[in-house]
Amino acid sequence: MNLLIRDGEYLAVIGPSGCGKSTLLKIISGILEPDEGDVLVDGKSILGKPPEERNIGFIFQDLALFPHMNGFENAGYGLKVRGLSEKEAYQRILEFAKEFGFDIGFNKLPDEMSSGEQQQVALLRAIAYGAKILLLDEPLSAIDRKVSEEAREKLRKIVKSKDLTAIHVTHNQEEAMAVADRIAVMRKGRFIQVGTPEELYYQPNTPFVMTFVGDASFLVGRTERGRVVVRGGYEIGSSNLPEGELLVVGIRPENVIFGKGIPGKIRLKSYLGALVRYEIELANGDVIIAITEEEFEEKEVKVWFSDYKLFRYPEEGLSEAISPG
Amino acid sequence: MPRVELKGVTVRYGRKIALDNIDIKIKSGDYAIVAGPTGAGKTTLLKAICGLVPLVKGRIIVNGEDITEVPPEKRGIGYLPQGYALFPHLDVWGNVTFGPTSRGWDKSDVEVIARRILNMVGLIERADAYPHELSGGMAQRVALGRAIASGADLILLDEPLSALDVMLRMILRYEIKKMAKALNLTVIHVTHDQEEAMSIGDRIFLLRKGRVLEEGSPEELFKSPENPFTAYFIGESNFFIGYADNGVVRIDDLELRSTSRLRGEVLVAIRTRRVKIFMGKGETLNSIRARVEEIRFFGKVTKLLLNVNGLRIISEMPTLKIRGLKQGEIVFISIDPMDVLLYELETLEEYPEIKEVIMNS
Repeated sequence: MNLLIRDGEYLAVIGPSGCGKSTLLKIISGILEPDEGDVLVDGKSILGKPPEERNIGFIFQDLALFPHMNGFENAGYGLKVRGLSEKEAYQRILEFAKEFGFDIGFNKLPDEMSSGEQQQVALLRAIAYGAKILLLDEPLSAIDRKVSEEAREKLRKIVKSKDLTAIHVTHNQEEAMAVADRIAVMRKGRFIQVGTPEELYYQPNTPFVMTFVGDASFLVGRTERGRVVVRGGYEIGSSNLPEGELLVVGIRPENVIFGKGIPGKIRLKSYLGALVRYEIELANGDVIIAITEEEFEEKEVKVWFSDYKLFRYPEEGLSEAISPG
Repeated sequence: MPRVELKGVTVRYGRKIALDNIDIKIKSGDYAIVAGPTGAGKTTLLKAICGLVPLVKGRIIVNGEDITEVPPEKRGIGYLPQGYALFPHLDVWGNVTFGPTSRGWDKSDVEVIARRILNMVGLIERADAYPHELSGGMAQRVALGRAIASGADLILLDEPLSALDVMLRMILRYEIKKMAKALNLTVIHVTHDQEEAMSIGDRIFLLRKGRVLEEGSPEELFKSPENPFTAYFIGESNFFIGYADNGVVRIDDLELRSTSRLRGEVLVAIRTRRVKIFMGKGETLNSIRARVEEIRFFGKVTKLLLNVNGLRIISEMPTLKIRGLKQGEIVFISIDPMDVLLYELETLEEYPEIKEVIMNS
């Protein structure tokens, strides 16, 4: 795996469970040594350096706060290890907490704290001693959705204001888009594509990236006389892929337009808050998802697509190629 | 006749009131969602219906029959608790078919339903695997399948998707709903995920601190929440403090028309998705000038932080409608008076969560 992360960049690494995301962080932090290859920080190899000398802050999925230490002792741990007195360490922690707008009961033990407080203590412990690199392993997955949506905004602000370089592992694409400058999509131990959220969304290099970053439906078709023809003989637009080759058409839900085109039946209508999601079974048996501001009461509709992406049909088959794991 | 009815149900854990006088009715065949933050009493509500916690008072009526005194195993309710357990000595197929088989269903019916459900959860090829051979996510999917196929037509699901990767969660939630409808089940599904609640609930019951704050269809709760906490928890809203008079609310230097008749100092909520941006059309009636301070791309929607006369308002727009918009640009926004929601200012004291949103903005 090769990847260059820029100074001050917030990188999110996303992928399904078991794709190797956490292993990547363990290698950077020094908990694991790679079998081959090198890890460089500021151009210098850090292989062989013990984790505590790498100056890298780590927030674990379960936070891993010391259960017998209160908030101060947990947050100030790194500072005291580096020789600061208790008083100096707590002073520093309080300054950080104030700067970040944290409201923490520092005298409480971890199991007396709310999940939000625990989160904040873990963040202070990771960066208060001056780490310039912050690794985050699913830091928000254990908390309620509403709380995590607020926490992620704050996280990005702090990383940017402290000029940290952050690598944030998550299986949640929305969380990745909310925090990151760039996103690396991982699958089965490899990077499939790395780019800004917009690049991944508009130029996905595989059906997997298309469905993992944003929603997508897929139809199977062929190029016939330069046109894309899908199952059932419906022609949906022009093709730049070779004549006759089996291909996959990826369609974003917002690019499904109602009114003319392929007939279908609405099988499920769901309200998403000012947007409505429709699951439509097309006359050829395929199912596509549409999301629009408009409300339809009728069950029989006709749809066409204002935009789509074409991919060569994957060797492992379409369902395997887009399987979430 | 409602399928499930709770009348004044109250549960205490020691001194703490977990459920406080709950009255709810759920229609037969409905997919009901119980949503709310951690500690709201959601799990206790399901346990009360199953008979797993004693009631201090109240009645539970299922199909017109009072089951308050009926022991749990005789209530005929399918329940998927959060810390589910599979039968370790049975394979996936054995786990999923256990319920209907022990209820004496016809063998061929059991087979049809088990196949369908294993297809839905994507584990038909692992039907002969044992629980210890499955990943956590797979085991969760089997447990979900087993609950739906339990043979009961009233199913209670406690956070059935929360242990799964987001992508699988998004796929499965619609599959569960379709399966429930196809099998004509009445489902009560607990979640802290408001998006999950909205997208599949026929009806949502919003719980906080042991009480039902509000109930309604997803659309009702989104468009006209009666309680400000609903505007906070279900969907996303901007919150301000303002002064209302004669159908106009004043927030700092900004004046907005509102259909609410409330007067005086008020709490104002505006859905982020109801702050509409117009590009390149110039000024229209009721439109307000705003500067785009920050743009965050989320695929089909984009979130924008706007500066309106010094006031910061968040708008969420379909990306297709604002493509090409740049940070620093001046745009015009409009907010329908129907979407300017007003609440008594005192309600703010009950909801520190909302106070924090106001302070952070």
